[in-house]
Amino acid sequence: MTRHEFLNKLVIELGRLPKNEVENILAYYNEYFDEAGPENEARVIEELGSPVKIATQLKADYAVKQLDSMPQQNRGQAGQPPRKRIPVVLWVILGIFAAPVALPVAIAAGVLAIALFIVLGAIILSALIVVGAVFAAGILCIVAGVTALFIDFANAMVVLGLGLATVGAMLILGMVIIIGSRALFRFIARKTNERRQNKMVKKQEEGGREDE
Amino acid sequence: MGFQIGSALLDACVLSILIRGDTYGYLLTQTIKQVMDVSESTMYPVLRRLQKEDYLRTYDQPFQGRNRRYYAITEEGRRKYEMYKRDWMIYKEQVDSLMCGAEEMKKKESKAKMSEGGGEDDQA
Repeated sequence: MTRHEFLNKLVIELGRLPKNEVENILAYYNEYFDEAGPENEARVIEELGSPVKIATQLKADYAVKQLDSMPQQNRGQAGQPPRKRIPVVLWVILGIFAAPVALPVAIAAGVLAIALFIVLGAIILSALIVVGAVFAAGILCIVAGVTALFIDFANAMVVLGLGLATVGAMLILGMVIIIGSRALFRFIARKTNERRQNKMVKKQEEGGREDE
Repeated sequence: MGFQIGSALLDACVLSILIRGDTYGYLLTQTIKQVMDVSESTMYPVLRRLQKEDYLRTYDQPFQGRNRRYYAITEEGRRKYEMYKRDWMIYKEQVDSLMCGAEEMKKKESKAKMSEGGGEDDQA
């Protein structure tokens, strides 16, 4: 495992923790790696242990903290809320200003993604239909071959063989298409997920270096 | 080390390192590790907790083209440290008297028996 893989895994495992929390954690471990130096990377990874374990601990910690802070928030409502509420308002205002540009772009991107998805689905579906049709033709060949067996043995055998071969080939082809498309969709889902997480790690790694 | 290190003890140790001066995560971890057997990954939660409770604050300082996050103790942290120190002294005394006091008592007992006259041989 490399440093990058370690941090990536950590981000994935941290999952739904608040973003700034995840960024803080990443920054801490990034710095830790930097301090230890690249020559100690492997040792640090070994000493830090499994990212899964670290993430689990952090998540548990966070959950407990939230439970702890809940009654406090109720108690000290007079003193605390402004800090948290202003950013939300700002975001809403920002969102409204950005809407004329951001909204059409977002809609276009979304529609494009959906269209691509539908096209992909249509291609797969039509392939399946073709396979199904040829499969039906194969079945017909078998039926014809069997009925003609007593009239013209040699020709009937040819037709029968053709039918069996077609049915077999179509079964295999159909299965390949189904398995292949399922793998493709899974791959797309994973990739989009990974890209999002990768972006976060990259941002962190660059963030440390900006202050030169 | 055969003893479980609780979070209060870890907090106290981190605060006592910071009371000597500001330091950064890696160095802090290494310092703690010289004294007790903690895993690297336990330090982040500790630091975060202390920060959340306003016992320490952080600031970033550029170092060789990247950021180094320093941890500094606050006034509140100093107070907490004094509290921990007091508690620790009492705790240490008590554990000492339990663990080491027993040995001293045994020594005294056996000395008393020896001087009484060791003819009864029931020590074996």
